[in-house]
Amino acid sequence: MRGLRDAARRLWFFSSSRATSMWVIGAWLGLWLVWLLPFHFAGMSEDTLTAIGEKTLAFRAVYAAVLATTLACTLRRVRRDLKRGRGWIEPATTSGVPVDRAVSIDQITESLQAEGFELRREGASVTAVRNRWSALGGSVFHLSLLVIALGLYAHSAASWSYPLRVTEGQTVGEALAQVGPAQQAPSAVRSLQDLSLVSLAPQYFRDVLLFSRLDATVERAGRRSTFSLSSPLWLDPVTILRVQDFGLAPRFQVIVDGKILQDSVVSMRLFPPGTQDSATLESRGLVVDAVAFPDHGVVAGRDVSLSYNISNPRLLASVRQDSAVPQKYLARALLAPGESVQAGPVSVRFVGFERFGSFQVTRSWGMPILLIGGMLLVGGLAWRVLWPRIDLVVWEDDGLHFESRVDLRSRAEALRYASRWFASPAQKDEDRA
Amino acid sequence: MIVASSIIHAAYFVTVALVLGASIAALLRSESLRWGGRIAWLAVAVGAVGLTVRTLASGHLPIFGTFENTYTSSWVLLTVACVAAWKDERLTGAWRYAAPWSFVLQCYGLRFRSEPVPLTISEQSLIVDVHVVFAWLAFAGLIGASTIAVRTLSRRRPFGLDAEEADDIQSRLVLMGFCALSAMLVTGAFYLWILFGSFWRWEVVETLSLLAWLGYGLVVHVRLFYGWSGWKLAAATVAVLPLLILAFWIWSVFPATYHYFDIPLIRPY
Repeated sequence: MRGLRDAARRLWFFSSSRATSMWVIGAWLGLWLVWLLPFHFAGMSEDTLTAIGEKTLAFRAVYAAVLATTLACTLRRVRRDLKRGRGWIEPATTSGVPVDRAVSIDQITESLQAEGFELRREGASVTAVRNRWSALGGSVFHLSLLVIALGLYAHSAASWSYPLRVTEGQTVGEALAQVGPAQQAPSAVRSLQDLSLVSLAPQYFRDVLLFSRLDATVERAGRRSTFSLSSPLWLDPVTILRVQDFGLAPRFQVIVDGKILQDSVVSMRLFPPGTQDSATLESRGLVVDAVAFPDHGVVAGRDVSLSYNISNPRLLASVRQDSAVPQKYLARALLAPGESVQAGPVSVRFVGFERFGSFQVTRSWGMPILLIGGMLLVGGLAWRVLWPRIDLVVWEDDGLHFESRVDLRSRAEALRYASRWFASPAQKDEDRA
Repeated sequence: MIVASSIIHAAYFVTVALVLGASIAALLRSESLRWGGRIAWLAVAVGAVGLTVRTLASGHLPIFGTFENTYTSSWVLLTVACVAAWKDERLTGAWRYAAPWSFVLQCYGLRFRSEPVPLTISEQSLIVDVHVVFAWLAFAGLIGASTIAVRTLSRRRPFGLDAEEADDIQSRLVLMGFCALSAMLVTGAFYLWILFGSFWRWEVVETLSLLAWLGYGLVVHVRLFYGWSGWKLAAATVAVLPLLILAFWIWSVFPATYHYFDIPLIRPY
């Protein structure tokens, strides 16, 4: 039993020691440098890098070691920081800097009080402290790493993203129905069924493919909201609706013997102009290969799109039979809205382009935890670094002397810092020289 | 406005070159320090005007693309050095150490497209602006610490400071830079969730940034725990410098990253 206790004690001191934490951080750094960073430059896919960085045993072992040593180290030091926070600096008896000014200890006390110091008078000495709990900022910072780890775990365990492709004028319910039974979608997505996409308005910089704006306007229960790629729509504190992508989709009508057999927006990716995509029509096994020209023009005898705006839409529609064997097109034509191409008895009419947005509903239960962890990380660090603890002590010993201690600074720097309150103008000039 | 922006940028480049010249002259004649300092402040003023005009011309803070980022970062470095010298008389002449970095950044930036373009939609966010501000503050602090470290390693007393003071200033710059780097990572992670629904992506800039953060974390620890000073502290600081430089600039030559912003302006035909 005693041996077990000793072993546990040794393990505790080992895992909470500074040296162990340094080695563990060094191991993390080394592992990433050697066994992760080079693969970025080798062009490995993100999935492969994820598999290495998140799922490999060696990496997981290092992350676990970092968390364990961080927790142990921080717990060990919190007690010390709390004790120190309550304490006061002791007056030195052999060192200290003489106070050059003709000033009394009462005057010094007054000026320190005005500076926000907490004071303690003991006979002929006064001890002052400011930001006494500053050391706890370090503990807050280190504990935030554990909060962040918890948040990442919660995110990986309880987060999802659900893609939606919604055309202008369509509701989420209609979009869901196109891909399958709505029951397959998460409840947070099903609750959006009455949300409709009013417009998805891209703007480009001049005539180049640089989106300067991409705003989506949606309507639900008579209320409209506008959001963008960089500013999603918050559905609740852990769920957002994001715009991911934008595209053009053609609306086709398939007409046989004067009857419209199909009138729908066909799922194709035709943006940017020049992109070819194919879609199977719901009739007689026909496939349409399409190229979109949102702003059609002819340059040097070639059909081109002069801009990315839907200003003069044309669609190059090539109709063929759906077959594994390459074959000739049954029909091919450059269509303006309302025009048709005839493939035997089947007439394929191009009605026009509609804009669609690729959205994602994203929920993460780790997000609030990570947000808190992030704030603790930055806040703890700022607390520790920007508001260091300052201790001053002034005592009478054949004239007034002072000693100073400022966290994270050397003694010389601490004395220099304190000299603003104690040094005479002559002393300051001498220091400057 | 675009023409004005180009003219002022040219003026800023010239003043930075003058500051560099003054810093070299100061090696030979200490009298050069005073007028060199004035030229440094002039460069800061011209740069500030230039960045303001650039902002008006492009419609956004100058944070988009290598040209704008080198312009902004060189100005931040020089400004931080001048302000540090003004606030702490021991750091008089800090502009001499910022000048070479500023000049090199300017020269590097000239290789890239300089036409002002609007921010792409993924960058139009206050979170991005905050992220970038912290990034440049981190860069300035850590480059400052590295410069002092390099001087220490070359056995020269930076700013004529004694060893203890130099170590103190160096470690404080590392701490400040580490704080800003932490804020940069936190804001970046949150924005990544906004854009992609994920808090971490395995891409080169993020990996390098976290590596630099770990590296500077180690430097802070060896200073605080083991009292490293002198050449040991300087060597540790300089050892992380390649990671810092790569984290901040690899995207300008390596497009396979979400931080690549020299977006080719593709015309429809």
